[in-house]
Amino acid sequence: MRATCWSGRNTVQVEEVPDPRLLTDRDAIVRITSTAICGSDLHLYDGYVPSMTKGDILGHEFMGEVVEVGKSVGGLGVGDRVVVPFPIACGSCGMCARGLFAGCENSNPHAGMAEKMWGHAPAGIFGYSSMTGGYAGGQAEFARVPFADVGPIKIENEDLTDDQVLFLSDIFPTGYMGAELCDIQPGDVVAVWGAGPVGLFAIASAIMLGAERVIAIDRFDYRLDKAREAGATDVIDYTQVEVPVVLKELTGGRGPDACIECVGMEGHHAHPIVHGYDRVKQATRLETERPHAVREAILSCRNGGTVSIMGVYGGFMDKFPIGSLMNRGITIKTGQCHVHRYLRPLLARIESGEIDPSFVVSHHLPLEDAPEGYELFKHKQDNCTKVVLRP
Amino acid sequence: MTSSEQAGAEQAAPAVGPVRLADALGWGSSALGAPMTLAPRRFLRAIGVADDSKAVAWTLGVGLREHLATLNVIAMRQRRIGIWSRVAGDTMDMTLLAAAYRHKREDRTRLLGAMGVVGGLLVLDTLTAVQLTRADGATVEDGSGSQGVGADHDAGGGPLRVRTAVTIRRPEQEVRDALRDFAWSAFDPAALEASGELRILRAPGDRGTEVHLDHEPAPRGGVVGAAAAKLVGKAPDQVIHDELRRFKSLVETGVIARSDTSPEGPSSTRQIMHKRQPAQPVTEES
Ligand SMILES: NC(=O)c1ccc[n+]([C@@H]2O[C@H](COP(=O)([O-])OP(=O)(O)OC[C@H]3O[C@@H](n4cnc5c(N)ncnc54)[C@H](O)[C@@H]3O)[C@@H](O)[C@H]2O)c1
Ligand SMILES: [Zn+2]
Ligand SMILES: [Zn+2]
Repeated sequence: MRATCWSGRNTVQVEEVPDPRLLTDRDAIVRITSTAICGSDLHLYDGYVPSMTKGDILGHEFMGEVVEVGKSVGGLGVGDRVVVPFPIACGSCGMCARGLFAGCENSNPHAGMAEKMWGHAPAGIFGYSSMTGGYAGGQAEFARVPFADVGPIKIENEDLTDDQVLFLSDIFPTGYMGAELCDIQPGDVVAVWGAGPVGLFAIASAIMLGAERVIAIDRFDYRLDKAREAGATDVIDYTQVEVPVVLKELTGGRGPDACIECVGMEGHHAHPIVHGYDRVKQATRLETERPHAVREAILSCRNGGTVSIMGVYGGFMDKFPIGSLMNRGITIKTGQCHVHRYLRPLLARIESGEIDPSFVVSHHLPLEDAPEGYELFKHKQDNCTKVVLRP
Repeated sequence: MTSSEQAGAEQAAPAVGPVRLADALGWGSSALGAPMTLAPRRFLRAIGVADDSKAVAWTLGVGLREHLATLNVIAMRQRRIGIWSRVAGDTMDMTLLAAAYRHKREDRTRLLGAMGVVGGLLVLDTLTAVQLTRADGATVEDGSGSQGVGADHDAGGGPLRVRTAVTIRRPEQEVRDALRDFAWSAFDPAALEASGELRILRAPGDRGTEVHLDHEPAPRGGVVGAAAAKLVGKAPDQVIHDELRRFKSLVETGVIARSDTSPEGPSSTRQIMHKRQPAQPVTEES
């Protein structure tokens, strides 16, 4: 089959690779109809995630048709149309039992590797380095889906297009969880750093969960326009103004009740010296992150407010404002998204017409053009917000 | 197995002392490394050594090593390994200073002073490292009356000693049956339970059953053989860790989670060799 393979920093290639086959009785094989490129893939593409190997198949946001099922996979049959969550979860360990699917204790066969770096290991993830299991990803014609009776959700409503349901695999639940973790109360003002696809869903979700105002922060006008479309009441271009100052102004001096960080380890800073400082430290591996948005979110949040970190980080950061956090009683919540929890409730919101996730899509490309898709998305060219590949 | 056998009161106090000392030594590394990397010539003059370019290069190298030691001990929390490498570093520094004493001495008193300081550090580092190695363990009580973590009373053991525990979300009897039926290659659970090296405890709340293992497998091919096996993930301790993970997965889910790079399930070998095989579907042969 054809598959998008990582072949080193800033290069992906669509290559011929072996077809997947069932490895356990709880596996299924899915023929992929739509698959997307995620901000998380950019961290791999840019070479900031350790334990990648040349030839790794990328992709963790995909959907398609079941073409083969293992004999213990109940509730799923050949021909079913499914969306597959990006974390792989067994459904029966202690973490899965608590609904913490992205912390599954059984799905990461390389847990030992992750424990060395992170103390304990998270779940396996499709197409996301050896440390999260070494699973082939879904930017391909086919994928093997382990624990297929736990993850994939069947889409029975034929009126829903792929673009409308594909993002249940990751970014819609991720943005939603980012907002849900903030425990939004009536009258709350929520600020969202990053108006990429995750940020856009966080904005839309904060509105759905009852925020009175949502402030979007980014530097690309076309993304800030999308943020308005998603429901943002105010937008800030962080290259033009001092974000914390404007946030104070917009909130009567209090600061936002909740801050959602949807930027991640490759954040950018408007001030070239600050940006350069973290860039050099990251390039020389003295820190693994460029955590501008995390710092700013903590400093901006109101006393006792919540900062929810949805952007992905890998290791150690520098200049973490622990003093601000502690003295002002800020709560931090974060995590890889426990996608499985949100599948049914969010599908219901899509079916009821409350939200149409396809608004984030800017580009459709054939799978063979994945390298172009990565470049467009990385450099925010051609007003790119989200690339969907069709194998 | 009753929990009262392991009454917490008789246990040695938690190993706070050596840990504190290790951290102080870890930070001290950077304090010492700073003048070496920032002003190597001045540093050399201060310890009474001629500041020629070779000596400066050595000083920069040692200074960098000191910073790495801080990173190791403080940032990575690898206290035991970090302090043992400091012992090696101190020994190296003594050798360097002795060489300087013979060939590059400028101020005898200062140089002897520096040697005294390094000698003192060598003693302190060695003592701390030994204590950390002894204290590197913990005991846990049955969840029905969990007593927390403390330093182990029977400290010690060699490099292959496995001290680990895994929680399986199943009732005790089911875990016992499964333990008996699983094809263990590295140990015999019944024999280890009889010798007290394997303990089965009820986890707190509804968390299931804990399997604790404190066992030192006999290295095949002696220490050298074990070190070689370690490089390819086949040392007995690594095999035990792999098998415990497979066991947990099998009991909880009915299958062993297999990824494209580890088609046989959890495998230390695959994790060490992961650069050899990309995450692509495995073919029949591989
Ligand atoms: N937690 C999870 O489960 C999960 C799931 C999916 C994605 N993610 C992560 O979410 C993050 C965003 O993903 P995405 O797909 O939206 O990526 P993206 O690259 O499209 O979006 C990131 C946005 O952040 C903006 N940005 C950069 N620096 C900023 C700053 N200082 N202040 C404000 N905005 C800034 C960029 O301009 C960009 O628009 C990534 O780190 C991704 O890995 C996490
Ligand atoms: Zn994603
Ligand atoms: Zn699980």
